[in-house]
Amino acid sequence: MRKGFGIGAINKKALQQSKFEQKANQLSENEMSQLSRQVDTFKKNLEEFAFKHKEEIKRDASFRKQFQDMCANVGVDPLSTSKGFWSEMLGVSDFYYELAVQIIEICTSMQERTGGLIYLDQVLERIKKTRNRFVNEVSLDDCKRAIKKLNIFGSAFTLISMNNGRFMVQSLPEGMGIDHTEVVQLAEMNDGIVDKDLIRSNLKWESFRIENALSLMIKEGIVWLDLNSNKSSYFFPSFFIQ
Amino acid sequence: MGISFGKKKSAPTSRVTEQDKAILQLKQMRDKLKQYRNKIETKLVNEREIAKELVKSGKLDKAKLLLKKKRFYENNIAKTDQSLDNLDQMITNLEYTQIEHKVVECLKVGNESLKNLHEMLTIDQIEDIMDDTKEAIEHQRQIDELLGNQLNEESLDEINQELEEIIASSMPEVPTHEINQKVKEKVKEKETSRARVPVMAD
Amino acid sequence: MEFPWQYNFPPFFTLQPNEDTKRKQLDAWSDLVLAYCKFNRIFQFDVNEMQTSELFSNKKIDRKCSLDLICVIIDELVGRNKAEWQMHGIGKNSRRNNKCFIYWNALDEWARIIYDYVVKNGLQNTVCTIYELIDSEEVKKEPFYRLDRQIFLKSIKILENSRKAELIHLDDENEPGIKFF
Repeated sequence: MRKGFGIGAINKKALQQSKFEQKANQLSENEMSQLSRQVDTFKKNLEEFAFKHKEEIKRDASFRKQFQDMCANVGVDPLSTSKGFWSEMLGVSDFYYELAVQIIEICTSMQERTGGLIYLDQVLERIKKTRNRFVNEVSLDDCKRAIKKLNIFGSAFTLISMNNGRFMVQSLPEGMGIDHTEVVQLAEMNDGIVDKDLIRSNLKWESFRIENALSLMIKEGIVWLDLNSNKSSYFFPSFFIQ
Repeated sequence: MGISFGKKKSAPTSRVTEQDKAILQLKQMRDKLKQYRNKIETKLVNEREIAKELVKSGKLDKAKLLLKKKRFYENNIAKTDQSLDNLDQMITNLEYTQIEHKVVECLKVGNESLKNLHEMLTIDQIEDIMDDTKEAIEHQRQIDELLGNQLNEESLDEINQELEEIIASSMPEVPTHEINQKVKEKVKEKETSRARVPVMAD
Repeated sequence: MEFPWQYNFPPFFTLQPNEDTKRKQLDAWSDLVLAYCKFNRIFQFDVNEMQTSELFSNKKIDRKCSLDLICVIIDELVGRNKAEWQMHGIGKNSRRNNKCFIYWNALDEWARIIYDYVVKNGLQNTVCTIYELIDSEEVKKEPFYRLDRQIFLKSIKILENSRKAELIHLDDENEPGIKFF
């Protein structure tokens, strides 16, 4: 049989085409609904799980981290949804929200003294002091998450990783550059004190760069100048907190 | 008087009296005595210590001399105390007399104004007022009496009786004979029509 | 007495170039100087002599205030009515010398405290000597016991201006007396 070239054949082809499309749509619709059903089921399970373990999630810091990691794996972020199911059901969002507010409060109240630079564990210590013992246990991991959430305010609150694995929270309105971070890290290894020679020999910077970094830090009030027998040293009050 | 511009106001008159100055002098003397007493007392304590040391080291003569001096100082203290006491009494007296003086002055002023007040009212005036008052009181008493007499207990009883009589006479009399059926029905009819006032059957 | 944390922080003894930091520094120094003087009942001092005292020199961390820094601190206190430079000479020729009064209670506060005592003890219309008001046994428990005489007289001057007191000068030999109203 000859292949149809006539009008009938064209019609037939068009018909076939539309039938195929129909089928395809039907199939993808099926798939979609099945998929969304699966997602729903998963979400429902996750919700059920979360609801069931609500108290543990709120109270137990390590369990909370595991839960967070699990959520992250499947692409769900209980923190990003400030409204809706997650926050209502868990109050998880509120938890980090409150924590972030507390961190801001502590950083601001200490700014008078620290010039806006403080160890994360010192922040945590103060949080634990203000929260009474009936309230949830808070971990360093929680603080880090809360601070990351603060990034929506720009770089006002950032974490600096120190050489010994500790972290510092830096709460400067302008935020510091990499140079300043390096000076802070250097100071951390030298009892919170730096001078130009120390920076020069450790970071191999030229004088201009050193001057620049130090004068900004003086301007921001992160360091205090100490003139002793004609030698200038720069002290970070943040490292002198008991 | 004091109208000139730009001139500094003259200092307010001092409120310190001559007596104040006298008291101050006495108090200053008292302070000096107190200071003297303190000085001697510390000296006594010190010298007692020294005398002890002297006795310990066998220098009895010197210790004796020191104790003699000490006795002299003690006498001094006693005298000082006596003087202090006198001074204190004197100060207290002066201060009290000052207050007394003020009290007398106040009394004087009070007396004066009392006198003035009395002068403003002569005995005649007061007698007139008293008479007026008496009359008014009498008038009031008479009114009270009249009112009280009209409504004593007896007349209240009378009023009550009268009231009862009025109540009794205004009540309708209860019929004493049977009302026949016809009249009853008529009454009913009239009641249902409600057009007229029902007429009592007699 | 307890020193603040800054006392052991070496840059505290260097005048800070940053205005904000300097403010914090001078705030802390003001509090410290007043607390130290109150604790040790110091009413006036010579800047040169005080430089070597525990207040302005911390041997533990080997730091001491320069005379300049001490003067800046005193100036700060003067601005807060908590200190006063003593003057040399009179009128136009008067110059600041190295001594200053420290008022851990401002003068008007001293005046109020003294007058409160006067009222409480019914001393109005009474003549008092300076000795009985600040040195005698009766005032041993009052905050103005052994108050510096010059500061005391300055406070009385304030009371005099508000007609609550009047100084009585008898002679040059004796201290003036005070009559309260």
